[in-house]
Amino acid sequence: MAKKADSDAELEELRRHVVGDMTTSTPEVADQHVRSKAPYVNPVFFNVTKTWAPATVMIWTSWHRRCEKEIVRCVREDPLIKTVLTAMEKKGCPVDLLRHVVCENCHYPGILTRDYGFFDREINQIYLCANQVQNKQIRHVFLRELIVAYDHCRAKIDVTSVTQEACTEVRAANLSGECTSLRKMWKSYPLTTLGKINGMHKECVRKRAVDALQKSFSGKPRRELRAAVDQVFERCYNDLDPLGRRPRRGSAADAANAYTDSQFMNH
Amino acid sequence: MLVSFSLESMGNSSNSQTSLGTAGDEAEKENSICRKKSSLWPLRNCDYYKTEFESCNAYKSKVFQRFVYGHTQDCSKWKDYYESCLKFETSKDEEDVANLLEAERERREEWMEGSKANDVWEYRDKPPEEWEQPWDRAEHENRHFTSFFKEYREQCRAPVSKDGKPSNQTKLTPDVIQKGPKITRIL
Repeated sequence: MAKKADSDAELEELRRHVVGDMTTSTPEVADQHVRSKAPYVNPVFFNVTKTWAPATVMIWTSWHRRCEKEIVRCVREDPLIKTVLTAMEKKGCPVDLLRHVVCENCHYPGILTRDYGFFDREINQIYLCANQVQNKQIRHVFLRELIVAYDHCRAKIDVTSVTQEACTEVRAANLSGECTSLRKMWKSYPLTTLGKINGMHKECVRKRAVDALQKSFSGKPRRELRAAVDQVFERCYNDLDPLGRRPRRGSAADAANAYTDSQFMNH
Repeated sequence: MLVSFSLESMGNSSNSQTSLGTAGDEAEKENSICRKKSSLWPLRNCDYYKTEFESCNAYKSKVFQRFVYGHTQDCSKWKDYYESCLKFETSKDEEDVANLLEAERERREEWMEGSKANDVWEYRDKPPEEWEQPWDRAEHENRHFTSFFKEYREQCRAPVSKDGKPSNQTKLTPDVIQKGPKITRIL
């Protein structure tokens, strides 16, 4: 199953395949998230398999398997993810894990930065960077991308328009529980968290939406993206499909009640 | 005891199908013949209101309410709903539960309003076409890795399509999600 290099020449070819030709393109359309053209191969694993470790070691220790296992656990146990999945099924987009979710190793976008994943609109797939996302984070990233997928499923989103993308990003930041942990707020707004907590959820959502938009529309200035988010903010902030509430991170009762709500309201 | 809503009272409800269909029919019949014009037939587990009250009152959620709304919410309504739900269990009198029913109706209306007021985009009639298009995983998957999703699928029940033949794809229906397969290690 494992691909072994027979000679040094093949090794060099493989290395060139990985390292060389790393030009980044900047298309004008949204979704500039690029799937790794060359697969990211960790050099440690590579050397290990070349010397003495059998293929089973790579499989046991692979990020790929760990990522998929965590997603299956979330699908089975996490009530918020279950609500979104049942809602998508009712809208006509049933989620098949083998078709619509992919865990792959990504190249690192820079020093001390991480790219967790995105929703690919052409193929309609949730793409997760298995080597950059921790087990605890997979649940949050998966929920966020599921909300983006839910919006894609129920509405025609124009890929070139900034306002519609801004709406999905606002909703994703609002509903996926990104802005609920005080530690994160401290990181992004260090001094204001001491003085002013009232109503900071909106600011956090705005900021995170603009940050996410910058990845999609890297050519545009931040002012323009900020203006688009402000234009669209009120309507999209109050649209709480399919969860019905803004879930509070760390409370299982809140999540379970959201699940029962969605079943009871038959939504 | 979970029972669906009666459609008359809901007015313009888009969802004609209910996931708990049989109980809804019975409730409708009862409503038409024996009962007054009733609204919802209450049936959540009363513990729902209790947990909502407790989570509303907790310190962390007070912080969260300040964070989101700018002020703390009034939690007495959840206690009222809990008490009226308990009363209903013993007395089966609708008047006890009138406030509950109104609240559920309003909540549902708010939920729908939130999505309808969002006119940024145009809603679809049909799901996108590319959703069901096949995607060859073998082409893109790295040969080093095995797929955990494959084990999960093989051990799930494959749903039967309209032809009567089993379909290739297992869809994540609520049954499958809740039960889930028993996965054993292969290595």
